[in-house]
Amino acid sequence: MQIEFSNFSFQYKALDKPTLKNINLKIEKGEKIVIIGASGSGKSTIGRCLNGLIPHAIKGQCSGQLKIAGKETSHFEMHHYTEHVGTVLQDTDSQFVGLTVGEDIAFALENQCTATADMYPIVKSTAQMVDLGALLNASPQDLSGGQKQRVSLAGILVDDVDILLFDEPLAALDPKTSKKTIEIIDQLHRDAGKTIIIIEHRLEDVLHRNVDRIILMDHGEIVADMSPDVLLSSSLLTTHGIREPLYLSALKSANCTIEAENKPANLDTLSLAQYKNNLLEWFHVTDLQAEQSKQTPLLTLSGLTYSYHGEVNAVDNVSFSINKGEFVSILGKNGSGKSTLTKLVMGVVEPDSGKIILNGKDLSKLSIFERSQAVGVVMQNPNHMISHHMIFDEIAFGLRNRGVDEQLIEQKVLQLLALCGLKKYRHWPIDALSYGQKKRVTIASILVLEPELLILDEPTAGQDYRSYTAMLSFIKELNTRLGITVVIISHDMHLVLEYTTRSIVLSDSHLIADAPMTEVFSQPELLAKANLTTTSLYQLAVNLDIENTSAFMQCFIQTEQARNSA
Amino acid sequence: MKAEKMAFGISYVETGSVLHRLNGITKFVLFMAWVTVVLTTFDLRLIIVLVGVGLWLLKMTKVPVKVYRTLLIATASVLSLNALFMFLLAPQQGTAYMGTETVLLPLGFYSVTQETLFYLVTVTLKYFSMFPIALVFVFTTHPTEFSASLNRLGIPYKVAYAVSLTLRYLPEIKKDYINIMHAQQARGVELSKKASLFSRLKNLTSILGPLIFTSLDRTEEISNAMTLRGFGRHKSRTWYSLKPLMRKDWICLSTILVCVSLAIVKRVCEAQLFWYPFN
Repeated sequence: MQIEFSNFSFQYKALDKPTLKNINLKIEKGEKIVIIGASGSGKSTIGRCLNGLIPHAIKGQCSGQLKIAGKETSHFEMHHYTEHVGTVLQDTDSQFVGLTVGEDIAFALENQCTATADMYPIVKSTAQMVDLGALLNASPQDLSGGQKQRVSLAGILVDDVDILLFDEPLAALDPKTSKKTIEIIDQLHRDAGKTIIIIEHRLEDVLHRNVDRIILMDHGEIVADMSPDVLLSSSLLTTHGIREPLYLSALKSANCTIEAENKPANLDTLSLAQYKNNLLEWFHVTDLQAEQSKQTPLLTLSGLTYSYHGEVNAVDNVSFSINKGEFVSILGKNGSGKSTLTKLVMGVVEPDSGKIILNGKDLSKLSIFERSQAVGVVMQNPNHMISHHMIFDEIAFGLRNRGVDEQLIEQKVLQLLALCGLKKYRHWPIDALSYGQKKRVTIASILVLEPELLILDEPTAGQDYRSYTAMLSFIKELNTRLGITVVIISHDMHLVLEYTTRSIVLSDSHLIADAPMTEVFSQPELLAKANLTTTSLYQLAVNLDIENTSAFMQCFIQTEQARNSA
Repeated sequence: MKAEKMAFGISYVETGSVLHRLNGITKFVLFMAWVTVVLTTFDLRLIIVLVGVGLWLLKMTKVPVKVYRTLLIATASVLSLNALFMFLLAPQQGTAYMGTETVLLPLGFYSVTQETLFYLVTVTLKYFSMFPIALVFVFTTHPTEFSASLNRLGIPYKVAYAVSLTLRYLPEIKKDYINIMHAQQARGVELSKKASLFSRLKNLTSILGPLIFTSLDRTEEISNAMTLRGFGRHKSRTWYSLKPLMRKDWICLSTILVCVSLAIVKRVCEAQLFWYPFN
């Protein structure tokens, strides 16, 4: 037995309730386990108990037993943990402590006082294991997200530990890199025989490769410990706020009953034969007429070009329009120019050439603040936006800067707090909120300024399915009821599919597509250029020999919407 | 305040020059020795040699001049301004040191004397002579190699590593700063010249708050990541980027030792603080 929790509980020092309650869990050597759960379910806490951050770096109260490699951990020093468990953290940027790839990989060796001359061959061979052999002298700024992740992995592998722990490894990665990462983890599991523990809430992406068991957590307890096939044929995921794989949602929507023996864990293994009739009956071509009414342009970019250093263009001759009342997504990998576009619209950088027209007015003469009256931008990291201690002040800040009468401010802020489901927190300090709630506060602080266009940068980052669904349905409602135009910048394919009607795709500073979302999602080569992948919904349509994949997706979205509004 | 359109910073530049191949320890010792020599001397002849050698070394780094030209000009201007203020505060300082008075331009209290001019030129060049070598050091020494060298010279490794981590995370903090600034500007925090100096300073605090909090979050994450990989486990650690001292390093180190000793001997034997040829 490699890992054994028995009657294990843990309570953080700063909290008044235990985060882990009476955990009993056994993991055998060589197993591959996924721990899923919504935010606050305790899944990350389990990870911290395994790698020794609890109790050595994070204080709190433990009870019960945890054995690692057969040894009771209550007497463990930090290094006893690190000898057994290697951890790849969620944020690979913060895990990167060296100034070059080679140095970062060597970090653990340095701390063990390995002689400098002995390090070079070890570092080199480890780097080759994860395909980084040619990049030993590169610095972190020069690496892509996927490469950084592989550096973190190599940094753990130099230590030759038996257990690899991945804490939300996919959080910051685009879909293509996510797939690649899951494949590398799987390879390590099969070839090196490591015990793998993955903590994630993006279940469908993790199931890209086979896993032995899924541990589902909620409110500090284990609510399910079963094989993926059994779990996916149950209704546990929906009840505990986990996003189920898209193809399963489609199957359920077509009234198919999912049985464990049909191997629903992966679309490739799932036998579709018995569902085919149901699905084909369910599928019907719907028209896109509703969208065609939205033809009045709100924001028009024409021939926009910008470069940061005067060498490579970050945005190269990009033109498109966003019409009033639309819900549009901008897709592209990191560094493709998405954030530069936002900066250009905000006015924090000025285009080298090209024009930005909002409501028929050229924006170039307007200051950042003047533009912000009409265009509200919600940044990815809420901590970059929040500058006040109290929620009320934070939301009122923009209005106060505008010189609005204090009575009117109070009225507007309270109204918005109610609308965003934050009313009961209005006298709370912001520090007391969760990441998702903070994000909501930042959205509220922008919405209170009543923008015509709302731009959301990676709205789902750092949030679980339940909380971002709540947030986005709210935004969707603003879009349909109040006619606010919304643009989201994201590489979360599921989100883009569910909410947006049109997609603009950027790749290497160029615009490569501007078409209805379902059309974009039906073109694998186009998506690959932007480091995106097709969704399993598309794959399902292909597996069913449906030619009009775009209509299949459309049909799914409409049934989902009808169900949600019912 | 618009985001700057220029890559910024004086940092390590990989050009593969002879100086890059020297050991970090050698370069650090050179830098410290240089500062020591400069501090001990008021001899214009020696200072001119130092400035000359310094600029020559800077050229040897093969770093393009445009990277540091602005900084060079800025430093020269600040030092000149400094000389002007020194003159305004103590116009007769040179005469006091040299013991003679040769008036070139009689202006009463602010009479310009040959001695004061000579004094100001010496002091200004003395300060300036440290500048090229500092650039050479920064351009050619990789930050962790620097930490490794510090550690090798007896500084505790945790302190030495903090130096290299600071350098590693400066670009990230700069990125955070820009993001926060943009977010605040978009909500009406005026940071441009339109606002008064006082309100600009006040508004700056609305950036510093979030910046400090995000930096603290970051620090916690990094420290966890480092703990997980065994940092601080032993009393000492080894360094991946530490290179052994080569023959060329020993040659440089011995030369440096000789030069410093000579400079100190010179200082001790000299009767007068300033070298002044016109007595």
